[in-house]
Amino acid sequence: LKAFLNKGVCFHFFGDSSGCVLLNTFSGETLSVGLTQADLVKLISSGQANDKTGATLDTIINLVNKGFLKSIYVQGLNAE
Amino acid sequence: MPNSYFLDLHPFSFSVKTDLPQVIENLSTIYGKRFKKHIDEVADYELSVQKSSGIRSFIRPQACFFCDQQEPFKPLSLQKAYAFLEWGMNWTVAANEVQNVIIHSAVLAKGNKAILFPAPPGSGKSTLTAYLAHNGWRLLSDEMALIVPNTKTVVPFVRPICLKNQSIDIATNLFPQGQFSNIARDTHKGDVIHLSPPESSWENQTNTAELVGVVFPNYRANQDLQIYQLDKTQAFMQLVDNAFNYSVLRETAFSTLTKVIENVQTFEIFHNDLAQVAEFLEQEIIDYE
Repeated sequence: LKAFLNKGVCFHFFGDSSGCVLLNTFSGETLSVGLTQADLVKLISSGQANDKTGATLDTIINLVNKGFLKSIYVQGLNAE
Repeated sequence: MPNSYFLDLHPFSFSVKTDLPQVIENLSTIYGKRFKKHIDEVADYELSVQKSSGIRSFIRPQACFFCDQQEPFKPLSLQKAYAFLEWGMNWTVAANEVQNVIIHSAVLAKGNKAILFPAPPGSGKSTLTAYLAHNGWRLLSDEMALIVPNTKTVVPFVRPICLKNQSIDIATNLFPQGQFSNIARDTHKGDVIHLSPPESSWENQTNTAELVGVVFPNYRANQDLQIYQLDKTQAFMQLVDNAFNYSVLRETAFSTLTKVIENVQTFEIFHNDLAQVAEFLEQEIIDYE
């Protein structure tokens, strides 16, 4: 996942597979994502975010807009 | 020149300047031998509660609170002076402490095992805290948990338990021998009283404890005990919402809270029976390991 994250972003996936929490150390903002590490990486890298349906895409866009994720890796988001 | 007093409350000390009899009397009742006439010792924080000057000293007199000569709050009516000092002490620590991660939460322990009880006002947290503290549990704090960075260790900051509105009658009936302050009426939280924890909690005020659980309590008058296991992500986000210095400590607070949540049990409970809650906590969390 590190490859997809901007500089200064920390993350932690919980052992109960309930999801991931991320901290942007520059802004101090913390977000949670209810996906396992494998699902999140797959989602970002596979371009499934292009389907433009459901809350998952919103989550990814939110992560990009708030400076957690590098938008370059999220295929098709700029076409929105 | 107001009299100067010293409060030795591990891990912080306060000097308190005041000449208000109700403040002195309540400090003596609540803190006992930890409240001293000023000694030649430097305090971590210099506080002062004074009657306001000028026309306000005659018409509807007010109390002013100062921390290190700054006045962070507007004055309150004089009968709230002691509660004002207690809230001022909370604010002082929350605004200045950066050595530990601070969570707005009660902390109680059995032996060396501690449970965090973060909860918003009105959830019955302080009533539960008072009940447990008077039934074999050790109070580490009613208002703020001090967690040593990157550990599960909680540093006690023993202070009185702040009870509001209906909880006042419940507590005075449950603990008739308790050391209570005077009631501060019509505050922004309603009527408020402070209850000193039992001596055993004071005696152990330098002994840290290890977290084994985080429980979000909710009192519902018409609801039997219901227990929900919280997933770790939810529990973490709720702790962040209750952290006073998260935005200052950032990475340190993030890693500390992930470590805590990863290694403790996390529950949300709804209840109308304090004894049932105590039984659940002891059987399912304290005795679990």
